[in-house]
Amino acid sequence: MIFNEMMKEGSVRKPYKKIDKWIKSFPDNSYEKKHQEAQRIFKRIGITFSVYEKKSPEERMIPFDMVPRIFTAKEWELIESGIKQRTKALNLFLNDIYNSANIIKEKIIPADLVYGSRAFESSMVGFIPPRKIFSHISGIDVVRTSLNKFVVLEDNCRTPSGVSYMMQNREIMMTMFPDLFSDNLIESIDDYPVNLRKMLSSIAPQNCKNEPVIVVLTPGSYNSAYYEHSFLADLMGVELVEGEDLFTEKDKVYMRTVTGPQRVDVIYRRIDDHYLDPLCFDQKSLIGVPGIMNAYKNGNVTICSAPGCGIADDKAIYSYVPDIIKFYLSEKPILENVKTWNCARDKDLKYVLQHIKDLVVKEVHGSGGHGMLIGPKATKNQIKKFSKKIRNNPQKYIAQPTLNLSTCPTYTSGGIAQRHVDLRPFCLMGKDLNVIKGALTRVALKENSLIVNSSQGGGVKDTWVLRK
Amino acid sequence: MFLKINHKTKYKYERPFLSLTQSIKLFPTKYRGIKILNWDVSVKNATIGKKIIESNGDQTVIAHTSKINKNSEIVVTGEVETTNNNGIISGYKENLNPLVYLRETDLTKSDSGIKRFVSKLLVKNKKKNKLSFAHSLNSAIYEYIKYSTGASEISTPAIDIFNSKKGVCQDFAHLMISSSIYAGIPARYVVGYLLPSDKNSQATHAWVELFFEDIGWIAFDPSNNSCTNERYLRICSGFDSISAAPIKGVAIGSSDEELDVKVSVQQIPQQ
Repeated sequence: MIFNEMMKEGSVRKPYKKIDKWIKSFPDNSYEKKHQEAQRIFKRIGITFSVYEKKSPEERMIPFDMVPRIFTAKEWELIESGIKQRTKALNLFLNDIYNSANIIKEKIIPADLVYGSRAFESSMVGFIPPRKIFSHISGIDVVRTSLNKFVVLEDNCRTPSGVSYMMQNREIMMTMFPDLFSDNLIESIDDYPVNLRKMLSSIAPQNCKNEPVIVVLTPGSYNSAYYEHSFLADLMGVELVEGEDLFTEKDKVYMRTVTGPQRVDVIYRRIDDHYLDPLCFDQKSLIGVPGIMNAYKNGNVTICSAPGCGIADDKAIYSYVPDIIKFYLSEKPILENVKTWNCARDKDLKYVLQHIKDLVVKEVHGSGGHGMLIGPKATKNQIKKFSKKIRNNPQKYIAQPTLNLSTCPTYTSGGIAQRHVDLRPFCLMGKDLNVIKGALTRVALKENSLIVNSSQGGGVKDTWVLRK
Repeated sequence: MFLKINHKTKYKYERPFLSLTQSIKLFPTKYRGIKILNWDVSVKNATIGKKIIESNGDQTVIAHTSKINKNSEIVVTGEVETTNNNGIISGYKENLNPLVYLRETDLTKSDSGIKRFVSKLLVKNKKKNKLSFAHSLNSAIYEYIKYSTGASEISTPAIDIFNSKKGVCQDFAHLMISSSIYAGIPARYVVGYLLPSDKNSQATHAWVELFFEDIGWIAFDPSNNSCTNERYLRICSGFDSISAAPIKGVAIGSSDEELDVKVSVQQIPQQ
């Protein structure tokens, strides 16, 4: 059974009643015009997304769908409490495995799964970041499978992207259809940049006595999320810098400015661990800041997110998250996990190879919908090839059943139709823990498709949380 | 044994750099049997940050110079007292779980050749414990590789060394790590000083440490077919020669550099 977010037994669900009227109020063809207008606005603002392919890097626009996705206050409460619970637990997990490692000593998680993973950053062992928080910004991907059932697809603990789309989607909707926002009581998402800045200030090193100086560190304009980096820096009112704009001296980080060096206290970095410090990680990195790790470990700067927090969203760790929640919080998981087979285990491998036709197989370290196989949609030949890949390198793969992602009304060339969606809510964890009342909804624009990734042609929608 | 170390590392850049940032790990490891009498690290024209203790126990400082220059010079002088521990590293403080050293790197990956080489040894030592296997592995690598300078480069992987059978201490170490990992024994690369036994041998050296659950870390030197003794002074460690490099540097505004190293390790009378 596929859950239809708008319709229930032939009638429109309550949160969608006004939108249903609004959709029906469009005279013939005018919807197409509005659709084009929305794409034009996106283009004018310059929101693009580059897709890494073997050919030259290509800048693409993410198609915007005008029909919003709507949650009631009650539904959102459930999602929000689930996201908070998971973010708290994953941070406790990170602080534990990089310090006392109790969860491993208690044999809840196998030691080799943690220590054998490349995402486990050995240089972070023994270090406690400010407020014991490693992952300050999470974007946990959730799908809805029934009225009250939300399932976590994957955790993103490093530097999840997409929040700029969430904000732009809202902006465009408000520009194009201001009436919708007076007719519906919708929670505002405008405070995200303010909250992000507050969170970053709250994690400044202890020895920072004044208002902390914050920067956003980007790999540069060739990065697929560069637009977002500049967007966030701009809205927070902080500098957007590249590695070469920063330097370290006596374990302090400085930014080069026209008036001389300016001390930096908090770095919201949007570059991978690996490239962060050529003296500590990849020596060939040209986009990092030499010496930044020593400044960090000496307590003179905070790096957000902490290096090594990728182990918490590692797909091999994912299946243990319910145990992680129980272990640290003594709570039952609010959001469910998808049943996951770890091909590293012989029993699981056997099952996966036998049932590959019904499963989705993913690379443990893959992302963006690349390097995966969707069993039910794959040809015999694809299955044969992929099975061989799994057999050669079982520890590289996990498998999950195909999920019935819920559907939302979406504009298509043939009119409004149902398309599958997922949800990425954003959670900030510093002095306070908060989930923004809005999210990025990604929509698979092809009929029956379950792949919502923007890199694979997915689109986005404005996401509403209705006020009580 | 009392050892005196003088170690000068000069980098000469082709073009003047605008700034130079280096990480320096040239501090002796403290563990049972090692007494550091004095030790000094200085870097010309640079400011030096506070020393941090890494998760693996390495001590690191960052030196930074923003003066436009063509040269950089790191001078290490020190005196230590050592004893023969037969390779046993005890009383050494580190936070890292040894299981991370079962990870391969590009330089320590094994191929079917290395795997066969190790498997044969494992069969031969079937009835013995892991430690005796390690000793026979150490000897086997000593026999297998012919020590020769110029036959390998800084980043020659163990697989290539296994095929060419020629290399220097670094290559012996990489092959030993690669083999140990395949045998399920955590292994790491160690950099340090060695009191030369004759005029031709090097005073900077690389060897390996293997981890045994019941004993801890034991230091083997496959290029000398021995465990470490009072002639060795341990400095730092890592997954391979790249991660264990005691000096790393990033020069802004320059490219090619020339390296000039002068190092002496001498035995001195009791202090």
